[in-house]
Amino acid sequence: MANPLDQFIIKPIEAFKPIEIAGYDVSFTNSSLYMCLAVISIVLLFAFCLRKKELVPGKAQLFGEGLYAFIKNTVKENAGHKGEKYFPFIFSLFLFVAFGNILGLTPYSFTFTSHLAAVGGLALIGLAFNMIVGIKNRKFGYLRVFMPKGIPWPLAPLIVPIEMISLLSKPFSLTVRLIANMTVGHIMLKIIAGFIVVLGVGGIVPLTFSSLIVIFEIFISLLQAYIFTILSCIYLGDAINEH
Amino acid sequence: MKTLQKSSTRQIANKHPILAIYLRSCNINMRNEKRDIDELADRIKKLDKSNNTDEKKTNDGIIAGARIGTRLVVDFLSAILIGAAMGYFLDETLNTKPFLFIFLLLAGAGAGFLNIYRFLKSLEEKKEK
Repeated sequence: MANPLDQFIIKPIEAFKPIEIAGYDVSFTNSSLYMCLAVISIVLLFAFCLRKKELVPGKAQLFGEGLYAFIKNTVKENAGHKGEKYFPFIFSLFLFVAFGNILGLTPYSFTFTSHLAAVGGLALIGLAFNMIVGIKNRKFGYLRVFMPKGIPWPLAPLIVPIEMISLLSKPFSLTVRLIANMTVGHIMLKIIAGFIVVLGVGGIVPLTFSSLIVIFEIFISLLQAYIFTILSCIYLGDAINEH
Repeated sequence: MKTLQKSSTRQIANKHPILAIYLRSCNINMRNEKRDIDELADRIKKLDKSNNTDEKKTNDGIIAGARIGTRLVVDFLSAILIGAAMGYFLDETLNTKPFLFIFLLLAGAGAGFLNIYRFLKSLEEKKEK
């Protein structure tokens, strides 16, 4: 039985030459390959959905437009009217994470959303984006994030560090939740699938079980991508709207 | 474009044949527009009727509960971890061992409680709506 953790190893793809910049290994790895695949499949999907542009949409077009409207409504509800301007960022974030999760479910593939580096990077980009947008919208008023209204000033030395940590902990908790869900699901699938061959005829039981888990995993991967998006919207709303 | 779409396709085709070819090349299917809209209205009516008869049952209590639970735990722990990590590295760089670590660890715990408080408050607000 193969080690269930083997699927998370990042290895450079041998067809490409190893690249090294300033002492860092930046070769094209299976992780980067699946990120590229995710982007390509997103583009292909939307090109397919929108190949016929009709006033009354067909099935494929309805799917694409429905996805768009769904995320648009999420942004509107959670980040307010001001946040609608930043919809493209949120939409690309959602699609990238969702496709990373779903591509990772196909056999022999690699799930880049199960890695701290990939998802943490996305969350940090989100945090930096929130800060830039917040400062752009509220100028110095953005500093109110660290010192909410109605708090007496002698408490400032206590409140400011707490608020700072609270702000920094948000992307971290976002990341941990996504990678924990993805990692757990994949390890569970691999272990249960390992029993199928070992048990012989009795392997039907784990086979049924793992098929059910795959369905559940598809649901979880979409749900987690949605949670990642909805929380990014809420944090974006916190950054731009004054309370 | 908008004003053009209002007038019928045949009129456009008679008056401006080149424009009609252009519109067709844009894949904007204008001939069936009216029929399509009528059909869609019929389908919406039918779906409305069938939706009203059987009410949907929501059965996602367990999953929603698990989501809220993990969110609480992760929000709380991540604040403490971030506080501790910040304190540790600031201590290393500023040579103030171990005061900043202690202070920021406690502040992290405070931030964790703050996260939980805010999350629960937002849940309550959602329920009231």
